[in-house]
Amino acid sequence: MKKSLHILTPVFLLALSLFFLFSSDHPFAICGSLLFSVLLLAGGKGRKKLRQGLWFALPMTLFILLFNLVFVSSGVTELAVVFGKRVTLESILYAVFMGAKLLAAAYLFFAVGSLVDGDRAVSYFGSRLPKSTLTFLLIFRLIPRFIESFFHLKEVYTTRGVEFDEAPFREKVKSYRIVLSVLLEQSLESSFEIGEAAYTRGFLSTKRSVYERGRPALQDWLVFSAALLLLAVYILLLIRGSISFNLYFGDGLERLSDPLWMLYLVLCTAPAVLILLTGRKPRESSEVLWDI
Amino acid sequence: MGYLTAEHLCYTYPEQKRPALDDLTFSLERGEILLLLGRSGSGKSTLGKAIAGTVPYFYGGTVSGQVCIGGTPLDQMEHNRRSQTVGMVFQYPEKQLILNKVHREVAFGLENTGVPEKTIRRRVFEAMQFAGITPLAGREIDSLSGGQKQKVAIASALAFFPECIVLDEPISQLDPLAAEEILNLIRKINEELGITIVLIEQRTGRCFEFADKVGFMEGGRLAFFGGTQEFLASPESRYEPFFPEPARLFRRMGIAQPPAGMKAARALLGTVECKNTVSAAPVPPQEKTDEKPLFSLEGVSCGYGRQTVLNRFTASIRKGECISLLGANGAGKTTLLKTLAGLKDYQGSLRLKGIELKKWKRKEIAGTVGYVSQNPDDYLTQDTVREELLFTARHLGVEEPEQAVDRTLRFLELTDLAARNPKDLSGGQKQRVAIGSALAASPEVLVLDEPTRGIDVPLKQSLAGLLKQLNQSGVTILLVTHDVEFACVVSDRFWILYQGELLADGPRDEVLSGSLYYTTSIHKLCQAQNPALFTLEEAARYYTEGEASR
Repeated sequence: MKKSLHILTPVFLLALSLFFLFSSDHPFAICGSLLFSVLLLAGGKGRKKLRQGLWFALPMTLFILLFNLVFVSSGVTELAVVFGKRVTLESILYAVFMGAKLLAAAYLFFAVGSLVDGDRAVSYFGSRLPKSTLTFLLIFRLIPRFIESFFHLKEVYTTRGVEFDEAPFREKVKSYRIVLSVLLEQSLESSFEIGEAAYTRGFLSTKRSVYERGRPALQDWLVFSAALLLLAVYILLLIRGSISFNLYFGDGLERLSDPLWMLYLVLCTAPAVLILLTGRKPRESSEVLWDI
Repeated sequence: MGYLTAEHLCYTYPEQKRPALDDLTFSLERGEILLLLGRSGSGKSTLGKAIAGTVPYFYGGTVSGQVCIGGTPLDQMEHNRRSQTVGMVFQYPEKQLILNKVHREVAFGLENTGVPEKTIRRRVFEAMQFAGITPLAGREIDSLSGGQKQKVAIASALAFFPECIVLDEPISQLDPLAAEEILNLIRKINEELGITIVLIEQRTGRCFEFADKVGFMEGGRLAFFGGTQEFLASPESRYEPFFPEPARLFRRMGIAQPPAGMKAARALLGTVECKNTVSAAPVPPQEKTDEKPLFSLEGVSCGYGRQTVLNRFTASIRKGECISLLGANGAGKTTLLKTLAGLKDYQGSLRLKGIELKKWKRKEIAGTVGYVSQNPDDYLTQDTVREELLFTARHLGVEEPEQAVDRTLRFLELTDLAARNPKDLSGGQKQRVAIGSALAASPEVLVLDEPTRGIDVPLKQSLAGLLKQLNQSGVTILLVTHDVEFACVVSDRFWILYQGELLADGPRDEVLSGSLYYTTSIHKLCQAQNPALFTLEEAARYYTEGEASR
């Protein structure tokens, strides 16, 4: 029977995956994080998120690509010379790797977000880091309201004759500036109101207790062990110097064939597979009780 | 000495010169219900916040005098104990709920105050059961209706097992049915648990039935504090707009001591022998059937994503009509207004002046259909009131915008405020500016979404006058409201929407006579004697200009 994961398990996985992703430009490190997150999203109900991630990463990749073509001429393999500037294969590949990195980061947040119950996270971290939790709470409560208000205000200003869709770019910027100025003011008021509501209910008045204290279960320990094993392999790769990679100077290309990378990639899938087989989004005992 | 007392309480918000609370002294016994009344900005909410402790401990500012609960001054009470002693429920349910799931929201305050885990579970269960929301325990809060959200907020306050709960306009956002449920819950909390209640409300109709004391705030001072009957018997005419409508009727009939409850009022009215010869019904609205409809809707469906909100809606609106849209929250009223204002895509046929709305350009629709949203603050971006109106006129390409704006300012009696910053105005003045923004382009139709939301009774009366004047000048009006009394004064046609369908359509005699919830308190009171009476003015005319005698 599938059981819920402890709140710390997905948080630990996210921290570890982000560390692997951002501590190296190595294509296999990026692949590992992508593998883990795509598996979780595809295996769960996150296929829409896979598309959303692509919409976010593709323009960013194109932007990096254009930036590299204009400003970077490093690299060994020259493809062409445009207006006296070298266009190299490495600068193009670098843009692709960076795009993949961004995509992996977005997928990681989506994947781990789908494993975390926001209320449980507030309950858990609120008793340990109350002020930071309140800040995040405000942000998480405000974002959906911000989006809702944005569309509402856009409608209001459409009825006042403001053009949003058919106007030239400069006019559009002016139109959105008006909406954003109202939105900013309303958001500040909203955050104050949320803060006041939390205050009246005793937030920051004493050490918080926990409503439903979850304890790590077998599947948490299994996922945790797989993640630790992965960390051990990563450290080994680090010691062997296989992590360092510089595309422009060909540094690290000779160590691409390190067999430990294969083990690393296989182990990257292990936590995801274990979660898909044994864990699921938290559902507290009380919820089952209330449902009855 | 009373349970909840204030002694010479003064409070000034940070960076303000004028005190929001000015020398308040009162005493409330344990288990009593205090109904706080007064105009917008009179200091009611500030007093509520002073009792709950957010003033001054959350807002800052300067305070003198003191509030005591159970003999303990609030300033000697730790934040933790204060939160457990006094709960607060705010006006907007969506702005006070913090977590995602209902049962976790109810537990949130208990976690904050360090209540042990086992106790939390029991209290969460009991508070939800008392509020009647146990079946909603596992639901996402965003999926709840306004009334359900307000019940969650009340259950969250109740979970502390507090001694006092302050409720700041808890029903102002709710439809009549949901409002009734919330008032019943408040009454039950007070009667069964003995919890002291401070209720701030503008929709006072039923509140007088169960309030023990009434406080009337005016310019930060407590102009009146005493028993409900004493308040209703007060000769001060400035209190009268805040009376429930039946009580106002009795005052007009010369009865010095009007009853607070509906049952007693009906019994008293039964003793009035009426030989009335005056027609109660207002002049019937002019027949408007000779013209082609301004709007014609045939099988219009629309919604959000996959959710259908308007379902094959068919109706027509003729020039010069004033239609009130009534119905529960989520019935599709706002969606209908937005569709008519060209803001939503739709299926079916929706014609404006005989031309399919989809064929109109956005600016043409905006110039023909003025839209006023629920929140007047949405309209305030410019430095002066005049510029605010000019903004719309210029963007909609009005010819000679300066003259058009001057005309609108004069019509709305805003000329004196033309150079003021709109953000510095009062609630009612902001509402006028928002309506002015929509009127600056001289639209033929004006659609208003809950224009009475959060405004006090005198402002409501002035808004009703304004809308009637507009309608008489030829502007077709559609308004969404939960305030049936207001709708009855302003409108000549009524729609009741239910799950995106038009459940009832017609003049008030047809639509409101047979309704349990969507009718006025005057009609409920007088229908046995004269079913044609709906508004206070009509009833007063009927009972005072005729030969009614006791």
